[in-house]
Formats: sequence, structure tokens, C-alpha cells
Amino acid sequence: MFNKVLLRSSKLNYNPSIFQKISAVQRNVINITPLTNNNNNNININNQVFRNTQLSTKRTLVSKSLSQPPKDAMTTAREIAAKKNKKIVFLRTAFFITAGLIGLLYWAWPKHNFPYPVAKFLRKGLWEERDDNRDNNGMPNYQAALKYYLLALDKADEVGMSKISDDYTGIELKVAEMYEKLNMVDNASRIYLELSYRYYDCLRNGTYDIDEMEKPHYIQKDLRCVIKWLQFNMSSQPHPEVFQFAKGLLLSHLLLAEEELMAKSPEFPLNNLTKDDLQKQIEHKYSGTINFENMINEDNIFLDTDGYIALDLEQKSSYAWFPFKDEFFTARDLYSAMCLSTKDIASAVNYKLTTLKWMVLAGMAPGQIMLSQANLGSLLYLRGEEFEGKLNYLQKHPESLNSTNTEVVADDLNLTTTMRLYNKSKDECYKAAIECYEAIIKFTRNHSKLRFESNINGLNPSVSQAIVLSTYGLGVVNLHLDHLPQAEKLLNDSLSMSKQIGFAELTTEAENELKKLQAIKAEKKQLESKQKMDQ
Amino acid sequence: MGLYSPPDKSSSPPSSTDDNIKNAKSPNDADDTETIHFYNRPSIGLRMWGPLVPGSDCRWGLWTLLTIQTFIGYKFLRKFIKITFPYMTSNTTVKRNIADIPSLNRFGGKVGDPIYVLQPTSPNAVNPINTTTTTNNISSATISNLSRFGAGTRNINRTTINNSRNNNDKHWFTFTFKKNKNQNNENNSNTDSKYTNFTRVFYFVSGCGLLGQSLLEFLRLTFFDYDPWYEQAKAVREKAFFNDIQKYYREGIDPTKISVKVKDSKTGKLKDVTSDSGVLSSVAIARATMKQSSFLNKWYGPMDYKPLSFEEYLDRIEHFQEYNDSLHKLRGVNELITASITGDHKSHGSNLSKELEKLHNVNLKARNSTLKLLNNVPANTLGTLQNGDENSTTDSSSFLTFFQINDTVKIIPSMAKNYTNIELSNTWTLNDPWEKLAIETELGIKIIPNSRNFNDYNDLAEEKDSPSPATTNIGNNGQTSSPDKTSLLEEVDKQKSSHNSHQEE
Repeated sequence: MFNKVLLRSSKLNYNPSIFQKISAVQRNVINITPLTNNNNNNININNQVFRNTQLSTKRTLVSKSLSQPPKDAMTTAREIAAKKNKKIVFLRTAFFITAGLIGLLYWAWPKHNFPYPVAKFLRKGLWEERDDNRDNNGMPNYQAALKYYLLALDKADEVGMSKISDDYTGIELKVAEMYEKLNMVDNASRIYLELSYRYYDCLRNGTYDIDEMEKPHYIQKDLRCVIKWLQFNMSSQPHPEVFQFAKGLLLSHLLLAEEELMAKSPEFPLNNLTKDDLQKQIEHKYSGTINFENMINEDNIFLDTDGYIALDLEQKSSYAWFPFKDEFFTARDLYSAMCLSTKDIASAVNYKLTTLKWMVLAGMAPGQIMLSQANLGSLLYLRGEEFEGKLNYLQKHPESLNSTNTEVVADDLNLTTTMRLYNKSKDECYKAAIECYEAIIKFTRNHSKLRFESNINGLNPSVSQAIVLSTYGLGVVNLHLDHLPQAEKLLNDSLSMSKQIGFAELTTEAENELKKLQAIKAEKKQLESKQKMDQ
Repeated sequence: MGLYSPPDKSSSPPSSTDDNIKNAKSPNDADDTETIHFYNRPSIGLRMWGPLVPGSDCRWGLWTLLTIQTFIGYKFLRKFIKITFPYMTSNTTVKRNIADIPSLNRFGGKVGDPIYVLQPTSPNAVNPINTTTTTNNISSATISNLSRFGAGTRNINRTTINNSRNNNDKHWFTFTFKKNKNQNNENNSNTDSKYTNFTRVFYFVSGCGLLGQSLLEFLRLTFFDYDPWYEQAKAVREKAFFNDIQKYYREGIDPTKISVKVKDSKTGKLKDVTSDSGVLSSVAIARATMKQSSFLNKWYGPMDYKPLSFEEYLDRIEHFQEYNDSLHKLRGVNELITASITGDHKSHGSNLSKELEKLHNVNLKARNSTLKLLNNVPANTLGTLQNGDENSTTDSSSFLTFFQINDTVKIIPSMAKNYTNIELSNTWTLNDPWEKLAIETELGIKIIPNSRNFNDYNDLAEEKDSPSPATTNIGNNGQTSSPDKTSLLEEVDKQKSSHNSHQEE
């Protein structure tokens, strides 16, 4: 009976504490049997229940058999409770694991961020734009696509998508693309302009709330838009005002990127110019020397342990550049090109010199740095030609000398000093150009694997292009300096190499130069023969 | 951080000079000669995880680890509280063998032992001397309890009363717990309390430490504007991708295992293009992408880079702060530069937002009018650009063009019958307009000079302006350009110069 009561109660209530209470009480009862008769009526009702049992076991031995049942009961109850506990623990674990898995799945599942109504129009747009649109004779239906993209954009405005998010701007880009396909170039270019303005506003004035670490991402997008806009608007001869505007646009957006670099890369040279310094620089464009520094050497060009092209993972100066470096240097090159187009070679050279240094800082691919230096060589050569032209002009028209049309900074401006300076600068430019080219050729000659890689013309076309361009450029300089045999050899080399790598433009140029060279040779022969005849 | 050297090498002891470096497994490549330096990924609050810390740009990894650490810290602290203030924490009872409760146990030893109880002669005369217990193992505690019988009785009463009165087991059990310690285990009490104290301190210190560290890391992840480690990890990942492509490209394809053949559209014959640079590069890119998307790479980033040290990290943050403080001054100068170069044009400054709004309105109008136009115009009537140039480039002998991003839109899944079947996320990613723009704006600019006869200068110099002409060669590296887009940005004076401009690939 004792057992049964306990068991029943254990079935009714699994709370283990109750067992303990019961068992405690029951043991009291057992142990203090003699006392309970009269004194301890207040102990518990259970006492009464058990009293009969106790009475029967009155006197002496509380045997094992009697003390055993409570223990068994307790263990059973505990076991049941433990089982129950185990079940709960198991269920709980299972729940958490499932929840975790579902969360992981949700996280990993590809999803888009477009609200439903926008997504609907985008699907329609993409569907119309697909490459084998059977509803439109197997051609993409850009008109319909444009319509849907415009509707999607309207919906996105309605829903209130963030205008700076890649999703929203992505739709805008789609619209611009469609405009372009449908020859509505003005509309397209204005979209890019608006985008670049928006990014500028956001980055500069913090119109939209963006994460500091996300800034480079937006700078990248901004520069892409600016470059695209320039592609639209600089294609034909632009109006001078448009040209100036474009220059300003490009420059201000580049400066924004530079600000970012200054903030995040301690290695980046800080712009410590004061206004006075700046004014001086602007007034005196040219001080007479070229600060050319060869960048193609073992210190600057990183090759992996086997001598192949690689990027240095531990170049500390390069980290801040990474998200937008390609766009940044393209934009800078465009600026140089724009300077060149206004025949402002001095600015172009200066700008390119800085670009080259920064490219090394930014850890660009070796091929690109080489190509950049080759371009710098070409610019330097052009600059030298410019000086030479001026020199010739001054020789012929000494009266033209006045402070307005010379770049020379001199206290007393007279013909001889000016001419001497021009001459010196010319020589310096040619020297620097030759150094530029030769460094590239020498470096690639020393690193045979680089050369090997350049030959296969796969991933790094710029290496081979830089080599060919340098060879050609060196040929041209030699031709200009009247070193005909070297020039001929170099030009022939560049011709065969450019054919090999499919650098078509250079092939034609090299052929032209060779023709010129032959002409000069023929002229010389004629002269010689004439002289002989005269003799 | 570790230097992992292969075990078969001559036993070079772990370089103890740099405690950042320790041994680890080398990759099981065919040639095990190279060792990979593995540095622990940096972190502020997760350092205790050592080599398990994910790369700083693996944000989800950092959050996961942070959650785990916080959870462990919480558990430790809870355990500490449980030990120190058991009645505050447990809603389940502390389970104790009733035999350990001294006041109730003055006659018995362990449970299950036979206990002999003598029946007292008179129920009222409670005399401990008359009560004799004989058992095999009566503990000294029992005897001492016997001498304090009266106290024991009071205890019984008190506990039971407490128990029945407020039905609160907690108090009761605290009581027994303390009693137990003081009386029952007198021999063990010293060591026991020492042990308890030790665990208590251990749980407290480690719990607080973990939670504090978690807080630090949390602050780093949420409140820091600028995180140089993140920037580094991101950049390094990209660089490693580039390096991998280079490496795999050099490795090439084993022609004995794989051969790629393409049916020539003209002759109809199968052409082996396995060694074609286009195939090689796309295979290399695919392999590099595979490597990038592996879990290990996602978690750690590239294996063999050395993260910035903590000092460098702080230096960079300091630099960033300093710079931002002086930003206004710098901006003034920058504006001056722009203004000086562009003359009258004002760079976007004060009236930027107005300009932006104006531009936006114009674009909005254009959008609306275009929509109207499109609704009224039959299909395919608006002019489309000629893509003749593109076709000519795709015919070029190089296979490379085949793998370049096409101008057309590809739908995923390709079997889609209707626009509703489109998987937007995948399709959008595949045709990402930003990627397309990136390719379009990737320009290769080459400047090709031409020599001139000296006589030319006479003519050129007649001009008052700078006499030199411009020579630029701006090409689009992508294949999608049409000629007028990529033609020169410059007005090249073609009559006077012998320089030419080209568009090139």
C-alpha cells in the first residue's frame, strides 16, 4: 500500500520535490514512530495514512524490505522525470536546429530586394529584352522593355525604394540602356549625369544615410557614371562650354575619390597645399624640369616567387584603393586625354606623372603600370616635340617673344635664356621618354617569365602592349633624333610583335613610320650622291 | 597565426621566436615543398577563438562567432549565479538526498542501512540516553546529532511548518543545504568550499570576460565607422582572386584529360580549342570562382596574407579621424583647384542639390513623355543602333569573344515559357546593369606618337597656341561598344598632325 500510494502520487504529479517531501515525511514517521503517537499529530496527513503500516511494524527492525520501497519509488519517479526532461531537451534541441537550418536556408537562398510590384514589371521587361524574343521575330523588343522598366521605376518611386540603392539605380541604368538602344542618347546621358550628381551629393553632403565602409562602393559607381557620360558627350567635337563642364565634372568627382583615399590610406600623399602655393602653381605651369621617376623596377613591380605576374597581398598602401581603382585610373587617363585634346600637353604630362606614381601605390596589375609608363613616354616625347617646335618658331620669329605666350618662368625674359631653357627642356623630355621606354623593355627582358606571359596574350594583354608600344616609341624617338639604323630595327621589331599580338593600330602606325624612314633614307642617299656628284 | 610545415620535413621546431607563428597542416598538394603561413584573423573581442576567427570581411561569420561567445559567456555567468545564489535562480528544487539532512537523520546512516530503533518506555519521557542505536556504521555525526536531540526536534517543526505555510521549498532547502555543509561533512568542508569558491570565481571571471569581449566586438561591428581590417580583407580577397586566375591560367588544361571542341560554323568540322587562350582564361576564371566560393575561403579569405597588426589598425583609425577633422580645410583647397582648372565652371558646391533637383525633374518629364510615346508607337519603330561592329568582332579568330558578356539578356531558367517563370534574382544578377556598365567603361587608353619631319614645325609654330597635336588611342576593352561611343574624346587636329586616332579593342 505504501508503495502504491507513492506510485500513484508520482503518476499524478511528477514534481520531484513532492516526492522528496513525501519521502521525508514518511521517513520521519518511520524513525520517530514512538513519538508520533501523541505528540506529532501536526506533522502531516500522510502520517495518519501510514500509521497503520507503522503500527504493524512496531517495535524494532525497520528492515531493508521496508526502507527499500521508498527508494525504488523515488528512483522510478526520478527516472520518469529524467525521461521527461530528456524529451524536453531533445525537443528543444530539435527546434533550435530546425530553426537554425531554416534561417540558414533563408539566408543562403537567392533572393532579390525588389518589392513585389516592381519585381513584376522587371520580369516583364527582362522577358521582352531576352535575346530570342519569339514574340518579336527573335529580336529583343527594346521598346516594350523600356516601357516596363519605366513603369518599374515609377512603381519604385511610389513604393519609396532608396534612390541610392544598387537596385533602384540598376533599374535606372536599364532605362538608360534602353534609351541608348533606341537612339535616345540625350535622355540616356542625362540619366547618367543625374546619377553621378546624386552620388556626389550623397557622398559629399550625406544626403542619404550610407555606411562609411560602403563609400568606396558608391564612389566606384559614381566614377562609372561619369565616364559613361563623358563617352556620350565627348564623342564628337563638343562645344567649348560643354568641354569645360566635362572637365570640371571629371575633376570634382576625382577629387572626391582622392578625399576618400586621403582619409583611409596614410600612405597616400596628403594634399597639404595652401592657397598661395596653389596660386603659384597655377600661374607658373612650368618651372623648367621634368620630375620623371622610373617606376618599372623590382621595387615597384611585384612578381610572385616564381617570377610571374601577381598582386602583392600585403601591400598596405593598396587596400583603400581597391574597390574603385580601375574606374579611378580610367577617369584620370581620360582627364589626361582631355588635356591632350586641348593641346595642353604640360598638364597632361604632369597629371600622368602623378597617375603613374599612384598606380604603384594602388597596387595595380604590372601590365597596367607598364602601359601607363609607356603612355607617359609618348607624352614626354610629345612634350619634347612641343619644345622643339617652339624653339624653331622663336628662331624664326624672335620678335614674338613676350611673356604671354611663353611658359618659361624667368625674372628677366630674354631670347637667349628662353631659348636655352627650351633647348634644355626639350633634351630633358627626350631623355625621359627614352628612359621610360627603355626601362620597360629592360625589365621585361630581365624577367623572362613576364615576357613569356606577355607572349601568350591571354589575360594580360597590357604587358605585351606595353612592350610593343615601348619598342615602337623608342623607334620613333630614334627616328626623330636621326638615329636611323636603330630606329629601323626597333620599328621592324615592333611591327612584327604588334602583328603577333593583334595590336592593329600600332601595326599601321609602325608601317607608316617605316615608310617615313625609308623616305628619309632615300633622301639622304640622294643628298650623298649629290654631294659625291658635286665633289 | 601559424607557419604550417609538412610533417615529413626535417624536424624544424615550431619557431618560437614569433609566437604568432605555429605549426599547421600544409595543403596536401602533390608537391608539399611550400609552406603556407597562416595568420590568425584579427579581431578585437573574438581573439580567444584563435585560428577559428573568420576573416574580417566575413560579417556573417563574425556575427555567428559573436553569438556563440555571448551565449557561452551568458551560460557561465548564469552558472556562477546558480552556485552563489541558488534560491534566486532555480525554479526547480535542488535535489538532495534526505539522508543528508542532519536534523532529520539523527538515527540513521545511509538510506538502506538497517536501523534499529528502541521503543521508548514512555512517550513523554524523551531521554536520549535510553535510546540506543546499533547499526553497522553509525557515523559520528549521528551521535553528535543524538546529543542535540531537542534542537533536532525544533528543526523538524520549523521546516515542516515553513513548508506547509508558504509552500515555498526554496527557503527550506537553503536551510538544509547549509546545515548539511556545516555538520555532515565536517571533514570535507574545507576542500569543498575551496572548490566551490574556485568554480564560482572561475565562472564569474570567464563569464564576465566573455561578455565584455563580446561587447567590444559588437561595438566594432556596429559602431565603428571605419574598419581597416575589413577593408584589408576585402581588398586581399579580390587580389587573391586575380592571382588565382593568373595561376590557373598558367597551369592550363591537361589536354589528356579534357579537350574542348567547337563546331566551326563554316566548315562544320570539330575544332579543338583546348589550348585557346579564351578557353584557358574562362576555365581559369571558373576554377578561381570555385575556390572563392568554398566555405573555407568564404570564412577565412585567402589563407596566406598577414593581417594588419593591432597598432596599424589603430594608426589607421586615428589617421582617419584626424583627416575627417581637417576635411573642411582640404575641401576649400580642392574646390580652388577645380575652379582654377575649369575656369568659370563652378564645381558642384552650394547649389548642387538645386541642380540635382532640376536634372531630376527633366529626367522625370522625359520618362513620362517617353511612356506616352511608347504607348502610341507600334513596335520596332524607334531607331536602334547598328550593331555591325559587334558582329565583326565576334567573328574574330580568337575564341575569347565567345566568353565575354553578351549584350543581350539571358533569362534564367532558360526554359521559361512566361515572364512569371523568371527567377528574378538570378536573372538580374546575370544581367546586372552595373556589371555591364563596368565593362563599357573599362577603357584602354594608349597614346601612340608619330615622328615628324623637322620642317613641319615651321607650319605648326605659325599658330600662336601650343603647337603639338594630341594623340590618343582610347579603346574599349569590352566588346559591346559601338563606334561612335568609343571614338575620341578629343578634337584631334587631323590636318595638321600626322597622328591618328583609333578605336581598338
